[in-house]
Amino acid sequence: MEDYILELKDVVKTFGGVTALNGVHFQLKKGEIHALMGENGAGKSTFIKVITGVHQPDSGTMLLEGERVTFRNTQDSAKMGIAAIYQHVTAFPDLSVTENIFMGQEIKNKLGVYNWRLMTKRAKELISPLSSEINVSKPMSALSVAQQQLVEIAKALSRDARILIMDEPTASLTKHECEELYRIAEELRDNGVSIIFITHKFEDMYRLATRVTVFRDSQYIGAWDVDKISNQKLIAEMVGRELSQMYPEKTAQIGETVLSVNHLSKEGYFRDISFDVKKGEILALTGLVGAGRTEVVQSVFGIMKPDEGSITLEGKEIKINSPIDALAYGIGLLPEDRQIQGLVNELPIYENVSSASLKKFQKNSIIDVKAEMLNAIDLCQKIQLKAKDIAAPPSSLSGGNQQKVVFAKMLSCDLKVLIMDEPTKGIDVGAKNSIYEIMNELAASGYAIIMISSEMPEVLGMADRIVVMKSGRVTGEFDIKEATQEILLEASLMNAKKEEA
Amino acid sequence: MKKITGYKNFGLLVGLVGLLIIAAIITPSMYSPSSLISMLRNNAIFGMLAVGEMFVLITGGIDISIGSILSLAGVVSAMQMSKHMELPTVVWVAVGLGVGLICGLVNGILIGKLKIVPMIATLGTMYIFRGMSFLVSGGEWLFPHQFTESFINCAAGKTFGLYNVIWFEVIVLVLAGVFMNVFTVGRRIFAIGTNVESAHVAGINDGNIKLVAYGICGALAGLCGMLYTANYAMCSYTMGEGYEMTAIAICILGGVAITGGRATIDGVIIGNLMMSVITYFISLLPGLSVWQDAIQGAIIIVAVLINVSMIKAADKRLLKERGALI
Repeated sequence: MEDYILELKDVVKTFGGVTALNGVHFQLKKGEIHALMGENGAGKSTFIKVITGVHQPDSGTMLLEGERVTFRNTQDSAKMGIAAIYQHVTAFPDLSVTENIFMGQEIKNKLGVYNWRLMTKRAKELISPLSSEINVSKPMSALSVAQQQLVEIAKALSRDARILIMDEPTASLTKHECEELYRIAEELRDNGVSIIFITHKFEDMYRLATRVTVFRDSQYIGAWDVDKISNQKLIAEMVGRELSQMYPEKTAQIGETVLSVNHLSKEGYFRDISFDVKKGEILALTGLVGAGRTEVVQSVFGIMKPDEGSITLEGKEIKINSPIDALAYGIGLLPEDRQIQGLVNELPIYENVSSASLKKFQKNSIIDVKAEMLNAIDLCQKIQLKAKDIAAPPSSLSGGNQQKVVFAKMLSCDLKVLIMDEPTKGIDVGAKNSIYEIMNELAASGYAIIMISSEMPEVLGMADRIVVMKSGRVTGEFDIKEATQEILLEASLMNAKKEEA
Repeated sequence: MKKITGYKNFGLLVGLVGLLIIAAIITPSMYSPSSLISMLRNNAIFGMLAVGEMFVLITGGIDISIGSILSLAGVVSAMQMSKHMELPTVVWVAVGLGVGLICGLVNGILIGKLKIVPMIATLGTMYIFRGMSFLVSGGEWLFPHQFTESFINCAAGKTFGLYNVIWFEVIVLVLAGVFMNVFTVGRRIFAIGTNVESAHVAGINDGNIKLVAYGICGALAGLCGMLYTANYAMCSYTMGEGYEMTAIAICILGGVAITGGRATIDGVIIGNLMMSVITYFISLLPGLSVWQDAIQGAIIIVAVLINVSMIKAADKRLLKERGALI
């Protein structure tokens, strides 16, 4: 038997009735970089939280150097030398880099008085091999995402971590920053740290990892040596089916241009953005998180006010000062966070459906509840909403069905342009498929659709045309026929400023 | 020069100096040493209340019961003093602090352990503590002849030419400054205020930290209750009504973020001085004193607007420094 520093067997974790991990296994060798891959919602993040003690598994065993361990909280796992860098950086933005590194394990005397001098010195020692640009007395919020991640690494090192878990560390880094991170990860490995590297990018895996474990739908699929599995096989294992099955066939006829955005700029967010979308077309707006995509569509929808540029609808220039204007012109936005911006959980489903189009159901200022309900029933059938009772609140539905309610709400308004911000975020694979079908039907019935998405397969599977953004600028526009994952990735990492020079 | 303008509370300082200049032009009589000292004396209690409130605000909470705590602690210590005149005054200082601490811990348990929203929890205890104060006092007042001399001297006496209540404030400010900057618990108050999720991941128990913050806030309000009765040689259950709002206003003027995580002790000091100058200055203007509350409110709003825009500009500068803006 080989020597594993960390081994997990048959781990099960459920939240309420939802199974997040269904008997998964994992084996980490000492001093290796092990990639953990799988689609969103495959259970990777939950798995990490089980290892670090944030969540306690319902059943299964965890062995650390052959010894059985259970962690009640993150302090327990930290004591055993396990550290994690979470996907969303868990920093204290108002506190200094030094304090961020030492929070929870401050250097202090018996009275609890900080030894600022020693902490600052240690922080500098930890940071300087990672980056020469970070000033440890600056607040964390003054750092870029990449720099913040380095601070998180320094934090892990300060705890003498033997096992380091990195949850999608490269998700919002530039190519250059990724290279830096690879270098640091390799250095750590050479110093005997075992690393679990969660990633979506094949580039990361090939560059760093020697082994790869795949999860899908909360289950363990398998583990392979990286050099012994083909890219195609790996994708098939991750997705569990051919891509063509996932994304339905398109039937829409593409017509004339409906909406054009011309040279839109907003200081600090985006600059000189132009694109247009045609009737029946799905335009994908992609790029890394933080590229300014959401801000652009919020400007089109009247939430943000652009400094420059114009928007034309069916050839006429329009002024949109608020979401009310946008809806009146027939532009609807499906927000990224359906819980906060899309749904009102205190109201029944049918009232949610009609909430953006109440005027339609008014007679002499009194709402015709019957018409309102009939409309909701009609729309819910159209989008195949699985609900027992449309008078129940949306919180009684699954994530995918909640998203359908937001769709129904948009359809209840008479719209021409539908903007969708990450329409399948946090939705499981099966429900995604039905969302895609609805999107295709909507395109076929004449809507012009703008879809923001960070998921490459989704963009390639659904879009007719793709606009890529990076750091607030458009770095590429592609027809679906010429687009590949590599081309899109390259455009989303391109340095816009260099391009200009 | 850069060092001066780079000072975090530079805007506040400019505001304070501006106010002083305006006051000097309109009412030069304000600038006699004796009137300045009496101005400080009258506002020392607000300063100490604001320090307590600051700790609570840093956690992202709020405490609107401190006026009632002041009343309860003041009534308990002064009433007992009038019955046990033989005991040394230090006992009554301890009683004031103790009653306040207990009240503060009650708030802390409600908010930190039972997870009640701070505004609601302290709204409830605001009535409870005020009601208890009424019960303890039986609705009766104490007048100067019922106070021992040493009790009154504790606040209204002078040491090195300054009223003792001002010395109390100075000590509280220094201790608070040390506590919030070098003590682990003090720093963790900031940690839970800036990002409670991260605090959990770092293994910090936010309930315990809140208990500490509300405890300190209560203890300071209790101390203020005792000092209030000593300062004015007067005691009734109605004292301290509305003081919680003045304390919150001082914090806001001093740049304490109502959303938590940001505060400096020097900001609170400047806020306290600004508030003192505003109140004192307006009271000196003939015919304007009826406008006092309205003017005070307007100045707070203007000050906060300026402060918010300065913080935004500072954040933007930080982003620009690292090249995140285009």
